[in-house]
Amino acid sequence: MTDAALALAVLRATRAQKLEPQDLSAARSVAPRLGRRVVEVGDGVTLGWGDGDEPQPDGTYSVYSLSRVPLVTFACCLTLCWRDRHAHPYPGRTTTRKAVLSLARALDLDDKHFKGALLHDLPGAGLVEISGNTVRLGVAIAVWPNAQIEALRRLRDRLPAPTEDTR
Amino acid sequence: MTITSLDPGQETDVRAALSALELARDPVPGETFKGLSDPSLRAEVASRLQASGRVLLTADGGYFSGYDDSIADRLVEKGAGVLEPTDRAVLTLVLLLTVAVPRAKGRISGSDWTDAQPTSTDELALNRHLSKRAIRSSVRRLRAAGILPPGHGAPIAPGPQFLRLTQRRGARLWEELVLLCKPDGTMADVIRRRRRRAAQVGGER
Repeated sequence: MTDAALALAVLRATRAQKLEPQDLSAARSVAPRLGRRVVEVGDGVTLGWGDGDEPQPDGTYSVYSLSRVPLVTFACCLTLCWRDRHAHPYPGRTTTRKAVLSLARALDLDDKHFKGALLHDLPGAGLVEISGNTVRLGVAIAVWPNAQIEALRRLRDRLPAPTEDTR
Repeated sequence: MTITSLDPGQETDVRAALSALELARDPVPGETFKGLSDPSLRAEVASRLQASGRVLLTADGGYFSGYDDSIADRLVEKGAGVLEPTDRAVLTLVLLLTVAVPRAKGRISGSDWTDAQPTSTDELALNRHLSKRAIRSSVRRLRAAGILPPGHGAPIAPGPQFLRLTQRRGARLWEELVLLCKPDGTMADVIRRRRRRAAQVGGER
C-alpha cells in the first residue's frame, strides 16, 4: 500500500492532520484522480473536493443532513464566528459556549437539545470545534466550495442576528 | 482491468460515482451511476479507491466504499479515527444487545450487522459502569458518525457505517464479541488458536 493511500486514509479518518512532507506530496499527487484536493488548515491539512468535483446530491442517493436544532445551532455559531462576510468564513473568530447559548435562547431553542447539538452533532460533522469554553468553526468549513459560500452571503439576512450580549 | 484513459464523459462518470460512494449515508444504487453500472468504469472506480486506501463493496443491493483491511489495521495502530473509550464501551453494549444476543437466541439469522433488534437507553443503562448521561452523550456522538442510525428518534442499533465494513472486518468484529461473551467457550478457543497460528506465519495482524 502506497504512502499516498495511507496518508489519504488518515486524512479521511481524522478530518485534519499534519503530514510528513513525503506523505503530503504523495497525497497531493493522488488526490485529483479521486476528485479531491488537499487543503491547508492551520498547521495541518484536510481533504476537500476539487473544483467541479463537489458532490451534487440530487436525490439519487441519501446523505447525512442536520435536523432543525443542530442546523439552527450551527447558524448561531456561524453568526458569531463569521463576522467579515467578505472573507471566507474559515477560520473566522472564536466565540464562547455562553455566547452561542445566549443566541440560541434568543431563538427559543431548548437548552437541552441545543447543548447536545453544539457539543456532539456539530463537532461530529466537523462544523465546529469545541475546546473548553471556546467555540470555533470546524475544518469542514475550510473546504466549502465558493458557490456555497456565495449562497450563504446572499442569505446573510436569514442568519440569526447577534444579541446585545453576543456582539 | 481498468481503462488506461478515459474520455471527459467517462471521467465525469467515474468521479461522480467516487463522490457518491464516499459521501452517501446508505449504499449507492448501482443503476443511478454509470460509473457503477458499467463494469469497466466500475473497475476504474475500484482502482482509484484502492489508491486512497479504500475498497469498493457491495452492500444492501448497492455499492459502498470502505477502508482496505491493511490500511484499517494501520489506522488503528496510529490511533487514527479510533473511538473514545466510552463510545467504544457503549457501542460494544449496543452490538451485544442488538445483534449478539438476538443471534444467539435465533431471533435474527442474517450476517448483516444492521439486521438487529434495537435497544434503549434504559437497557444500556442497566450496565452500572456507565451513567445514563454518558450513554446519551455517546449515543449522540455515534449517531453523528453514522455508527448508529442518525436522527433524534432513530433506533439504537448498528447504523449504516457497518455496511462499510469488509467481510474480514465484520468477521473479526464478530469474533471479538465471541471472545468477550464466552471467553472459555469452544468457539473462543478456536478463534484464539487460529489467531496464534496466523501470527506465527505472520499472516494476521
